[in-house]
Amino acid sequence: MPPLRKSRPQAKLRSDEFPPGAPHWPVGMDRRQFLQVSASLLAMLGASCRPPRDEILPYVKQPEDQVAGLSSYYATTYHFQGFARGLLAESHQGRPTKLEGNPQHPDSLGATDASTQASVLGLYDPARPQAPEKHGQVNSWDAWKAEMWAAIGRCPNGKGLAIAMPPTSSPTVQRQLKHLRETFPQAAIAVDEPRWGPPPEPWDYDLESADVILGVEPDFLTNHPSSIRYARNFAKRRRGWETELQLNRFYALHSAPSVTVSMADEAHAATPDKRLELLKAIANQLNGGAKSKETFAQHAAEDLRKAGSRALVIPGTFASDSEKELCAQLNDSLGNEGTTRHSVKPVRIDCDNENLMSMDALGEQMDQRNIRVLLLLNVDPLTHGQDIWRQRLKQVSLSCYFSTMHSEAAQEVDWMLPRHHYLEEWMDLRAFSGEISIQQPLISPLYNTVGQPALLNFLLTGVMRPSYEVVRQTWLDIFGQSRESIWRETLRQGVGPKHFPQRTSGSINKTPPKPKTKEQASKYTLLMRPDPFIDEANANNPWLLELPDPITKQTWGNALWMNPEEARALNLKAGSVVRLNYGNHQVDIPVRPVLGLPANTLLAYAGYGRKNAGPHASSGVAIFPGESWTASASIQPIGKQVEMAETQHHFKMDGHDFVQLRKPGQEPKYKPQAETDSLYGKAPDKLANGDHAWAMSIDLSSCIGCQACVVACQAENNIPSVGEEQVRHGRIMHWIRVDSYQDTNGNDSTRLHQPVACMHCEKAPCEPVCPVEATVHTASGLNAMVYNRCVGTRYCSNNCPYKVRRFNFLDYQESQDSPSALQKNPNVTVRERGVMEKCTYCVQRINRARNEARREQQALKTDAVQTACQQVCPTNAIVFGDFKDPASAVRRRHHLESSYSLLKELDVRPRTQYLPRWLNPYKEESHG
Amino acid sequence: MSAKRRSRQAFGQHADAKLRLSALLGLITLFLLMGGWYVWARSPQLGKYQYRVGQPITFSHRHHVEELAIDCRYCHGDVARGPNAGMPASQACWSCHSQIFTESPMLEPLRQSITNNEPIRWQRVTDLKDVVYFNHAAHIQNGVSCQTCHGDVASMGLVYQAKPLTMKWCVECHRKPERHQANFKRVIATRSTPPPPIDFESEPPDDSLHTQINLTDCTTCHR
Repeated sequence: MPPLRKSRPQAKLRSDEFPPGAPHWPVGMDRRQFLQVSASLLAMLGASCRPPRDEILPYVKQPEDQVAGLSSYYATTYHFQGFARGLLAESHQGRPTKLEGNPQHPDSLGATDASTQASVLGLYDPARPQAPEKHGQVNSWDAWKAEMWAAIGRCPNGKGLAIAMPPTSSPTVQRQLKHLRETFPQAAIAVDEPRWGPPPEPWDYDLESADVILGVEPDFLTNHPSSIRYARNFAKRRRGWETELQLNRFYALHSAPSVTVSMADEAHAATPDKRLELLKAIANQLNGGAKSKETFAQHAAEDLRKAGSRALVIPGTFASDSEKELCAQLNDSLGNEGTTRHSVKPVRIDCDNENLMSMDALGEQMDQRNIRVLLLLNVDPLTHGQDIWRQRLKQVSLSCYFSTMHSEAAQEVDWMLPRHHYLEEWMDLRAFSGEISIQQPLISPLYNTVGQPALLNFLLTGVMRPSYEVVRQTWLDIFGQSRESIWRETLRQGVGPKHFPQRTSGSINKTPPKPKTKEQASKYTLLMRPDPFIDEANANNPWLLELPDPITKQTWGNALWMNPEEARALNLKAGSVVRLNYGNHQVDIPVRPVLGLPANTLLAYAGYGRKNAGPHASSGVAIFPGESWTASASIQPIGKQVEMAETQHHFKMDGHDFVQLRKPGQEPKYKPQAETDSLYGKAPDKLANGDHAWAMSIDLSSCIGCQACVVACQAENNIPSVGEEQVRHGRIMHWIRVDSYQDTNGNDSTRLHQPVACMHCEKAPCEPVCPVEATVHTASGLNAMVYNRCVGTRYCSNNCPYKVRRFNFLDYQESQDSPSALQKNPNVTVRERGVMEKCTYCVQRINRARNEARREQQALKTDAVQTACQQVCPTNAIVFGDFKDPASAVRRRHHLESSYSLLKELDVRPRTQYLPRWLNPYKEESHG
Repeated sequence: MSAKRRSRQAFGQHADAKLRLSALLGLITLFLLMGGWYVWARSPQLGKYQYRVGQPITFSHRHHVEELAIDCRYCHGDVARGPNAGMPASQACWSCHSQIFTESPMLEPLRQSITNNEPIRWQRVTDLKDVVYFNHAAHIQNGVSCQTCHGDVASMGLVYQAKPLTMKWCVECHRKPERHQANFKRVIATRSTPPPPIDFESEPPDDSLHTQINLTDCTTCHR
């Protein structure tokens, strides 16, 4: 018999028959020991019968003006496209939780946009780099300093040293840049082509005075340093319910559907080439030439001529250079300078106005091996899809990438240097119109990071002077002796005096546009646009990734937008994946038919599909816009179908009137109706009970659908992100959503936006069906949700006609140990799994205002309470207040004849009412 | 034959099952008893809340409040201004104790705190559930005295929780607040008993105390 040991297969077979360890006696605890341990555990359990203890850790030294449990506000500044946007940051015992706009700042006016709102979460992003890394290994700043300083020493006069940075309006950076050029005259200093599009035109628009606006590929409501002010002024002229108001008329000549285009009275979708033709036709007709054959151009030219100096032509960021030139000529011939348009001095350094190098020129230098030391300050050429840079980064002897977030370049460079988040860093910035403001840190740095002023100071002097001192030095240079009072006042107010940079070169040296290489003729033109919310700094921000796109309501990714008829012809549905070829890139991307996109045109957002920028940033498909933001493209279906995570699937009203439409001179269609008999009993008298009657009014003429309210609500009310998969299941948690409808009687490009949150019905259908009375009414008319009573039957949600209740199907909140938990608002409960939640009308703000009024021994002032969605709204579309107060804005709006409630036929008496969307299309008779 | 044999058996057919069942029942009873004890021993509803909590510094309120007559607000300064009463910063203690009892071993944690710039780790005594958003200022401003909820702290050595602080207990007062409201001037007084409620019959009503807020609304305390 052969020895058993040799027959391996048999032995293997036998050992597989029983679970591992089966032949061994159990060792360790026997039964007696088990019982002993259980008994002693029980005894110990009994002996330890005390509730868990909390600790209180008071200050060692009490800070001034801190009231325990109350938040304080500090003025600081957000950098929007390199320009300042004033903020008031809310801090809870040193922990920034929420950002509000600074009412004094010209480019904020108390409001912000979605990206700004979400930027506070970036501070607590667990994916942030927390220490300098050399080749991916954690290292120290001292090591980098030694290496860098030695490397600089090997660059006489800066020869071989290269620095790249994005455009900025910061006086400190501009001063340091000047010093850098003096200290290192031969250094290559490049300014990146901005990732948010070409620089804005040097004009400031006064949209409040404009009667007729023609936008060419317009995006001034969202994608402009002053877009918040523009949105506010634009909306002031849209409120048809205001007496004595002449509505403006907005013509949009566009290729890409966008938030701005969705507000158009008259829109015309055309391919970029056709767009220019039409604009020429308009100019021709305006200058006395022949009437255009196209009615849009005809009407636009007629209205522009009629309005004269009160008309305005605005080229969008992505209008072509020839269009921008033509728009300037049109404006000149209208003679609107001084009325609707004012020239501004540029405050931002871009590569063409400071004789700085472009990234391409820097790349050429690197190819010629002229660069030995490269420092990338918040610039990652790899995110632009230029793979050639991968090689270039390897060629230099020392490459460093300095940024708040990891990025593609961070993997390729020698040193990844973490930067302060802007809420940790001293800096200064200018508004579009020149007002200087201070970026004040709210919290001392969470990690081993440094500020940009300190880092640049190190390059100049070899010492990392604190950023604060560097910024103060700038102010000494600018304001001289009076700096102290100006500094203090600016720090307090958030806005300082106007100040403009001195040009180093007398003339603006505009780099001539490169002759475009003639591409092979393809059927499609691919328009690439920056995502409305995502950019390089916040690519990993779950709030923004989960924020539905204003037009398609897609979350967690991008799609290839396509004309619906073309898509049908190719048998492509939403979610059909196609292989997209453009430039020298090829990607697989799902198709999304979008109304309002001209034929032969495709559109995709850039900013998604990042490789090394955090766990969330990889969602979506990477699109590299290159320099021109357009490319000819071809598509090929690959027969795959994906389900996109969308929050709205049907965009037609199908005969309903969710969004009511009104035109000037038109009578309201509906009159308030008498109360009907109902299962829910009679509505209580608003004015009888309670001390207040809280109510809300949303003006659909003002709402531009920018989604800022959604993120503001999320930040204020501790609303979790749920992730792509859960969004597909319809489990998104946003308390307020912005529904979007097509205007089926008008043009394809106009969208009707309607923010919907809990309506706080007086006869709330959710209340009688709750078996545990977890949702009940308060005397002041709030439909209260009591989390600790809720057992999660979801009956209330079933019975809610507006579908605004949200259920925690899973434990969506991040763990207590995650740094993101620090963002939570301590005044709002963090809901756990199995609990229903919904809009509370920001009851924590109501309570705070009430307590403050009580402390002052005064009655609550009119409109003292602002909900988060109201406060953030750039256009003041949302008004909240006490219906009982005769002076309140909400009462005034509710009493307007056109004010209506959504699904009024149900007669649930919602406290939130809407004002109709006013449209002002071209009218023949007004030109007779 | 078989029946006879079975009756002679000491253990019946189901003896094992019965044994297991009774063992299980016994275990369940034991667990229930232990659980009951656990609940009973820590249940404020059953009056089990008045135990003293060890503190890093054996701080006597009796000494500071009753004997030295220091106002509550000297240490809990935010009580009339904000939601939290506030705890004294180490510097507040230090303002006296840098001069007196400088060698006392009892004050070692305070000296450590000042030297190392680290907070004193006080143990929380009055701990409301996290679902409750209690506001000190709102109560003080509306004429509810410290003693109403905290009991006679002035006579306590180590502080203990003197009232049940259950929702039932809170709501009793929220239903009829006027029975517990005193004039603001008396509210802050550090006397051992709560100030008497306002007698609206004899005293002219203080308008500032009247509130139309429905205090039993859920949103008054929960949000």
